[in-house]
Amino acid sequence: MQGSTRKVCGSILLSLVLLFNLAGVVLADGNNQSMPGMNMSSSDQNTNQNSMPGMNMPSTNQNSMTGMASQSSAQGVNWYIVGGFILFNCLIVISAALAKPSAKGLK
Amino acid sequence: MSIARVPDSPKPEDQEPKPNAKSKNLLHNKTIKAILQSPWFPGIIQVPVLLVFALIVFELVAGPSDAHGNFGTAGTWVLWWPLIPIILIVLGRFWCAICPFATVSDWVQKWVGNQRPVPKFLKKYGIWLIDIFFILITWSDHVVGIVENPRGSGTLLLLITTGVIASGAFFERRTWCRYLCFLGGLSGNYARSGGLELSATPEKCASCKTQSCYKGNEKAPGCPMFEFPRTMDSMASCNLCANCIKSCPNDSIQLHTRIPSTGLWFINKPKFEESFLAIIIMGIVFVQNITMISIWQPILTALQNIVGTTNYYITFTITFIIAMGLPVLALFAASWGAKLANGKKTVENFARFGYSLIPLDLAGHIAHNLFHLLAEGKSVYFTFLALFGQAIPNGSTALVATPTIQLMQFILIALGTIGSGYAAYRIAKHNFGGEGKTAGSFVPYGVLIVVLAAINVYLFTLPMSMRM
Ligand code: SF4
Ligand code: SF4
Repeated sequence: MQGSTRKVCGSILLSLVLLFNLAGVVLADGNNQSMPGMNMSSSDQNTNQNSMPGMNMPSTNQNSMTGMASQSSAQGVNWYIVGGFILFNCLIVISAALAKPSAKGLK
Repeated sequence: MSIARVPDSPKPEDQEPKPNAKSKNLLHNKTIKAILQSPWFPGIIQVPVLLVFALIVFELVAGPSDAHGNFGTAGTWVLWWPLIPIILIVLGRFWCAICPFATVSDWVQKWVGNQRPVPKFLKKYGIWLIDIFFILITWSDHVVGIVENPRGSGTLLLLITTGVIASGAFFERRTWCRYLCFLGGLSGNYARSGGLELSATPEKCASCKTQSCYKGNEKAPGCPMFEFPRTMDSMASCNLCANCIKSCPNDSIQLHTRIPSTGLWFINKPKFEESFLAIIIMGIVFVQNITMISIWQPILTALQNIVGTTNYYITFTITFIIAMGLPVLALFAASWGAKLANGKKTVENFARFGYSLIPLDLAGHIAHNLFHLLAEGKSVYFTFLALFGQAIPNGSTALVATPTIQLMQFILIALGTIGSGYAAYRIAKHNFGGEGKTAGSFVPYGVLIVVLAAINVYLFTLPMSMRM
């Protein structure tokens, strides 16, 4: 691959990394199950004892785990984000391999 | 690997007298030397760390959405994050040698790496980018939720993984670690005052023709952190990967222990952005403390009344700017005070003396996280059991009683204050002692350090909330 093509390829990819990362954060935000301080008036805020900084002062510092569900459910998994990350990282690796024809792994 | 130009040797006027007689060279110990020269080092530690990291990321993105039951949250924020500054002060930046992100970067680089030189922009502004990332991540932790939300933590780790993969795929050596990683920036700052020092023997290097430590040879690749041991004047970047110990044909490398913080006394070329990071870390520890203690809610309510909104983004951002800005302004004020005594520009004093705050930074950081480690430590074990479907034992997560933790926090702050105060004094003596301006240069920083220590002590007297 020509030097200039590589440069363009690299710049596009790096811009995409930034864009994708931004999108990831926004999506993760939208998918957020417990946003500290954001659900001040929510009636169920205390279900996540740690969701509001400063509100669950331990009186004795003996933070009991009593009642903690040992089999908590895996809610809120955003597989689009996870899958997107994996796909995107694969794309980076493939592009790097293409930009460097002599690379060992992908000739 | 592309052979980059070896960094220039420092000019004679940049050469510093080293603080004091060095301790025994640890590489004279056969066992230590054999371990560091082994081809298995540090890979043998990297692999298990990477496996644990993979489990933690999986738990964070796909495990329980409640932080209380998530092993990833406990492993990351109750165990790893509090241990990091302790490792840094004892072993310098060794964490970076075994860091899973760097391992991923190394592997990607070996496989498809384009080995491009580091862009000039990164070399020039990398530390500023690290400063900005650090501030942004702390801010987003509070408004989006990273520490207390497993999905937020998982997203952060995936973002960093994307960065290291891109860096390893396109750029040479550990570009990410040296110029972009926010944790690397923090580690570099703390490692300056760490208890280990790697250096080369000037007499041996003087006649060296190979410069294998930088360029690499058949025994080991060149320094991954772009360091040239012959001219390295601080431990901010060296991660003790031991490549140079393996590759140097002249047995020039030495490894010494030193009293933590001595590395801050004689910084050759102080940089404003590095001192800025030191004071920003102080602000970050304040933010973390304030938002976890009992006075936070009254502060938030008062602020809501003043700005007329309950929007947390707005109220937190205002608090954040104040908590980050005040220490920076205070350091500027002290630098201006020192200017009256030593005649140097305020920014020059800022850059020169900002490093002296690192011991207090470290003490505050460790003290804050010691609470999480010792008051919530058992949650790591409990959530680990939950991974295998075991019932979580009822009872306290504390390893140590609160009064004991508080006592340890106060001792740490006292040690940090002494370390910072003495570092400021040594910097003043080294730079202005010849002109008889040591006291005038030191006093403003001495006052600042005492004020910052007092704020830390006050914050640690208040009860703090848990992470888990
Ligand atoms: S450390 Fe070894 S390889 Fe590097 S310049 Fe000195 S003698 Fe040469
Ligand atoms: S100076 Fe030596 S030990 Fe330090 S990072 Fe470079 S090669 Fe590794």
